[in-house]
Amino acid sequence: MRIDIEHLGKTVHVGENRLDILSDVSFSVNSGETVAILGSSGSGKSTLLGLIAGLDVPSTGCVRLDGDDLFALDEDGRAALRARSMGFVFQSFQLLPGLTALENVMLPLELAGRGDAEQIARVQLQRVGLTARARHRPTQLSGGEQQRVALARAFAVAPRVLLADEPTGNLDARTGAQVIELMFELNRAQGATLIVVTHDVALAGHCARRLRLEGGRLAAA
Amino acid sequence: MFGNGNLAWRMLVRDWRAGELRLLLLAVALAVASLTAVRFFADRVELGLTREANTLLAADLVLVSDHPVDATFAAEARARGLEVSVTTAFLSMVLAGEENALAGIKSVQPGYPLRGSLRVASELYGVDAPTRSTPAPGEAWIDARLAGALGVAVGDHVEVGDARLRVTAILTFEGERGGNFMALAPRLMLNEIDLARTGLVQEGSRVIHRLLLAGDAAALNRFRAWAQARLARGERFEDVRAARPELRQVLDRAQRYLGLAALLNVLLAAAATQIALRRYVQRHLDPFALLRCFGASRRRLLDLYFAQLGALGLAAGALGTSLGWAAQQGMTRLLGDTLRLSLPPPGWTPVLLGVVTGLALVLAFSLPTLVRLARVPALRVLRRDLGPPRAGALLAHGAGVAVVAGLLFWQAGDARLGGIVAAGVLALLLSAVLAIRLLLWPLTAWARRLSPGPRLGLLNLRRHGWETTLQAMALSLGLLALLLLTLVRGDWFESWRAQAPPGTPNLFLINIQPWQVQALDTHLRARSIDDFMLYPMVRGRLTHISGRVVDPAAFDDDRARRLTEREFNLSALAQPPAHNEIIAGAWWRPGETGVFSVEAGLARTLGIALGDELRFDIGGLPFSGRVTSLRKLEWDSFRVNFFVIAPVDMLADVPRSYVTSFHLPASRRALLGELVAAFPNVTAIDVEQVVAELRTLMDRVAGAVQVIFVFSLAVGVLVLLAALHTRRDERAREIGLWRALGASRRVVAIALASEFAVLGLLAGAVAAGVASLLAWVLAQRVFDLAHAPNPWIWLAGLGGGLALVLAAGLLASRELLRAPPLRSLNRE
Repeated sequence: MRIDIEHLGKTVHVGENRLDILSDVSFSVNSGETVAILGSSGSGKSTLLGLIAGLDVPSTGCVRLDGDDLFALDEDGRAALRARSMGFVFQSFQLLPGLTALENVMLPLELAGRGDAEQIARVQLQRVGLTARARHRPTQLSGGEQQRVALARAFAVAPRVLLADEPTGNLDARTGAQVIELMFELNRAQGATLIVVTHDVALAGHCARRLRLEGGRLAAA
Repeated sequence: MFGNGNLAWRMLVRDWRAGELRLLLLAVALAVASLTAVRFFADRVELGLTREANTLLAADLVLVSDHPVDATFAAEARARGLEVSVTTAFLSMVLAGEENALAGIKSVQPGYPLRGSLRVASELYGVDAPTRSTPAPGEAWIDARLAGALGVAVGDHVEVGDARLRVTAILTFEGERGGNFMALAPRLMLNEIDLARTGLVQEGSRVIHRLLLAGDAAALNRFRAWAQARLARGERFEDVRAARPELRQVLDRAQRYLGLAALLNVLLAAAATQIALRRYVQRHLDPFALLRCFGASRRRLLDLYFAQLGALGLAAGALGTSLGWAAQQGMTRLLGDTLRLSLPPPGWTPVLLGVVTGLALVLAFSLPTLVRLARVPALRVLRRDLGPPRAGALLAHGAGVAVVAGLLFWQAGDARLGGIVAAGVLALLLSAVLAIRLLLWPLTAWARRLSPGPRLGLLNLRRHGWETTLQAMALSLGLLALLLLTLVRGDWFESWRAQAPPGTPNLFLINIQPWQVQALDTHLRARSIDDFMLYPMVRGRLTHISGRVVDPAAFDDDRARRLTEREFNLSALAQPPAHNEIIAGAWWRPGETGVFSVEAGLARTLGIALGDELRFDIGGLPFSGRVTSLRKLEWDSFRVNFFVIAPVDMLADVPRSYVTSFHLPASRRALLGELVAAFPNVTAIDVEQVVAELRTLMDRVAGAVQVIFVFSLAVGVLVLLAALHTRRDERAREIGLWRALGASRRVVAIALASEFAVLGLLAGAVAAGVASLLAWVLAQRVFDLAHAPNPWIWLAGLGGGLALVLAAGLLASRELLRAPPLRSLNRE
């Protein structure tokens, strides 16, 4: 899926003060391309990712997915598009504590009404090497294992776009490296467009292209 | 939408396994259990008590008519499986030799009464015993008054109209007459077959026909509904409530108390559900955002959650109802002997009530929760700084309020009771908010000077201002229920003890002639019977009210018609009787004449007001007077009562007899024989059996009320625990942080203890204040009881609040105190 970001801006008002989180950000990502968005804390990385996912609406500009304006859709339309086309990996894993690893992977498949949710989830868990941990709850898994479950979940719906928010932010260097390897390996196999937000230079190094956000603006393409 | 139901079910099962739903299910199920247990038990007790009371009506339901009841009614009742019996009653002179007396004649069929039994003795003032038989053809059973008036004994003959009957027993107890015998003529009971022989029942005779009915409550209700539409003029139904006012009072109070307990249980159920749902929403904010991120639309998620919570509500309702049923079975078994009441099986209404309540509570209270969840920004998965959305809209909360209000009125079965309790609870919630703002905030300012433990605890209360307020509200609601039920029960039992205390008069002497008064007084006092008073009694008919002629036919009210058709008992006294209370106007001054004091109930029925001029026909002479006071009296006190009292001088020259009542212990029954021998014309009426019946009924009601009370206590405590459980996750992290920052376990324990103690005291004070006020209003407006302010309630509120909240809070936090700080900090 090709992604075009055109003059994207996000402004919030805190009391009487106006705060520009993102200003005039434009870039394009080709279908199947891997892009890293680098930046320090508060540079607007997560806001940008949220806008690309359609989780929030911009103050200015637009996001086009294969040429179509994402924000021409209403919220439910964007949700349906996410269900069809997008996968997510989060810094804090976002596994539901009450569910087992298998059930966490099944969740987006079930939401999509897939009758074969369990078989697919089991295959995905096998791909991330966690077959033996299928019945374990998140609290019984290490950080690396939790992020591998999150990867299995993200790829289970065969997304055309994978959006990753600091996927190694909560992991030590060695585990982080393993997770990065796994994520890119899975992505190669599925050919999804990958946008990863990070301040981890090693992670960014795996991407074909790197963009830097500074104070809400794109610094270098 | 594909497979939403399936997914909702799977999510429900997973949430259940994860322990997310247990508190909610437990809260709702226990609340429903308490409600249905009360309802099941109350229904059964109500049915049992009514049946017990029905022995005093001789039936479960009576169709009363001024003409022979159409045979189709009896046929239809039999076809519906009901027991049927017919009685006919009228007033007539009874002759025995030269003597004659006006008597209430009643013909009965074999099998009478359908409920309870008659008691008879084989001689006047002899030992009596219950009997299942009725007078055989040619026989008459008469009561002591008639035997006294006619001077006949068992074996003698009497004449009723054209029939000559042999007296074969002295009738000592007839449930239907109750304690109201004073106003009635003496009794002669005969067989139905002899009725025609008397020749007294003719076209136009003033006769009361009764069709007595007994059987299954549902069948009776259906029959009543069927017959109601077919009633002709002069026909009406009477149940024990309409027929026996003194029993009605006992039953109505019992029903209202059980209603109050059930009502408070509804409120506690609502509080428990609300508390559990708050925790549920806190724990579902992230999953909701995540699912939105995965592409589920808001609408679909709301559908999913709604279906999930609906299923949970249904399950909780069903589980709670089963628990409630089991609990009441247990209660019944445990209390079988204590209650000494045979309880009919419970009906299905509580089952419906339980399931509907579970569902309605969960769904109605979910609405604000769901509105809140729906507002969770999906962006929360990326930006943790986006906090939880604000609580739901007022409209969404309105659903919960509406459901609780609906349940309140359904449960109360009495708009006034429901309204008063609802207003009381509103006052409680506002007082809780005020108490927090006015008392807690200054307290925390002062807390900064304290040592670390208490300081930490008190500042923590303030830091979680809104949560603290909610907890105080829930805790004070739980305590209110406990205190209010205690207070009302106390007032009620106190009034019972006052009404029929040991030593309640059980013997009435009537027909005492003026020249016998002194001798009788001496006779009784010589035998250490001192607690009595001899009242003059004059019979008179009310002819005019403020110049208007009293026409019985002009009254719509049956009771008014009956009262104006016959003569009243009047008395002439210098002082109001001790057990009467002047509720309007004033008693006359010495020497005043031309005035009357009227019983308030009679005044209400006949539309008599203070200042009205009444005229009586007494022995053919007119007597007029102005109403200067209204008196309230307890008809079930078994003391001599008069509808109308005049000053002594006013009736000085009127022919009169005297009447008195006193208590004669069973061991001194022999005195009765001496008395009758010394004063042969005086008639003694023994009401021991009537007093005993009423006291038994009261004791059983008291037993039932105790059980319901204990059950409500348990739910109250559950709400306290649930309220303390709400902040558990947050508290765990707080404790972890305090410990990580170097607070010792002891300091943490003191902090928690201070927090719980202050919360308990505040909630206790608010609950005690509102409970005192509500108990007073309920006693005045609903229970019609004298309310004595009880200062102990403050001690109980403060002490109970402190002890319960402190103990439950520390117990619930024990595990958190022991856990290593890291585990608490990493807690999800």
